[in-house]
Amino acid sequence: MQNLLHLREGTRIPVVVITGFLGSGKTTLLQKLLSSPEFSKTAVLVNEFGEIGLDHHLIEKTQESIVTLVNGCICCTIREDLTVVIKDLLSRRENHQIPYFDRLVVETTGLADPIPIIHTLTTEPGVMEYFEVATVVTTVDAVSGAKTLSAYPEAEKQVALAGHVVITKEDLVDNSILGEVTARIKILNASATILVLPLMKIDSKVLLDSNDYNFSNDRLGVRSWMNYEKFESTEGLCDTQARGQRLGASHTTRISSFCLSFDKNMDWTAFGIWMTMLLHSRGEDILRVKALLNVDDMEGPVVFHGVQHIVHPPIHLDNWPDGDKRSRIVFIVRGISREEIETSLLAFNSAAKTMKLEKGSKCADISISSGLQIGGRPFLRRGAPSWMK
Amino acid sequence: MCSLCGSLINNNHWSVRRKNASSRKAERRAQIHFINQILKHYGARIRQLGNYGYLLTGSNRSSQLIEDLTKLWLEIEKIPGVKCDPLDPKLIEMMSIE
Repeated sequence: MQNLLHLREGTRIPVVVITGFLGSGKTTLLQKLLSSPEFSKTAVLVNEFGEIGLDHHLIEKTQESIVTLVNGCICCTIREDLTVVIKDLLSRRENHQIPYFDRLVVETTGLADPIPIIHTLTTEPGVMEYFEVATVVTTVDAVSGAKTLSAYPEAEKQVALAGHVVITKEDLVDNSILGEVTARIKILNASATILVLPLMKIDSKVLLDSNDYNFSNDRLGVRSWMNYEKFESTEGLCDTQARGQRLGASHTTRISSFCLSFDKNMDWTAFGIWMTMLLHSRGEDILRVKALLNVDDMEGPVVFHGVQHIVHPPIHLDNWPDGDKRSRIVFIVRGISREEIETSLLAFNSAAKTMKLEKGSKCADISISSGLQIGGRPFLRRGAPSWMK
Repeated sequence: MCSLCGSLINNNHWSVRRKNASSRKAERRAQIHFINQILKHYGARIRQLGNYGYLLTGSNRSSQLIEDLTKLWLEIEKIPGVKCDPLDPKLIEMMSIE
């Protein structure tokens, strides 16, 4: 009961999604993370193709809280099962049938798309109230990572959605191959934190305690969540598409990430209409949007976060993270260029501002002849029936 | 639920800001005016319906109740040949001229 009360007060259980292509070392990473004593209160959901949940047998010390899904891929076929299993886990925790857990780790299959898992956790009634996606950790194999990312869209998407990317088997390759894999990852997702360390040296807390899908509601938390410095520190470009073009034309037609910045304030009406229209028409290709907006007539910034069609309620902060008050929007997209998005948003924003200026001047004209009152009541009102006049 | 039309009233769309009543009305008027600028491109028009909804009128004069912005684009695309894409160069050109 105490725990449920705790949840009702607004603290939700963080969920870490661990993903990565086949053989990239997800389970080894999970084993390492869960061997840390401070993560003993972590429930784990594992899932593999086939009737035998092989990964289940590889994980130790967490068997009490492990639920193996036997219906195939979490994302495509048993999303409903994921909901049921998560609700069941919570219910059993509250009834003391399983040990208390304060964190959930979901390990996906090698071919999984993490988006349906994120959607389930953020939109499913009965789940979204108690759980929240904290981060997505993606493993990339240093030996075959570059080839895998070029050949398999599933692998690209796993990296594009990551908050952290862990490069595994780094001891088996030389620096040039490692550099190529790292460059490829940065093109897909420049805002992700890339860890190139022997698995045993990775600090478990860095991964499991991170919260880049649910930034803390403070100005410094937003700054690290946006991570726009990563775009700016790269050759002075706020863009990974230009580097993608140098690495090969095929890269520019697939997933890329870039950060737009705008000196002019954003009109909220224009942004809302533009974004809903964009997510409606291109939502499948807008993998992630993170924005810190300087909105007209608002003091602090507005924080916007969307994952494909799903938009988190925007948050208005009291203060800016630093002195730079430009609007910044980080996009991770597939097959859409930076120029297309920038040109369109600028056109919508300018049109809305022009419209408001024109409308404002018209309103000023009208106000001269309207608003006549006698005894505090309107005497003549435009459009009112004659008996009222 | 609206007792007049039976539609579910949804005021939780992310684009709706929490403001006082007069500011919200002004913002809503501006929003509808701006949407109508875009809808010229598709031969459609919307009108305000209650505090949150819209009444969409297409080129064939038929009207449709819309609950929020997300559903608006879905309904407009039911007009034959219409694809609502903000990255469409022709739409951007029209917006720039306006």
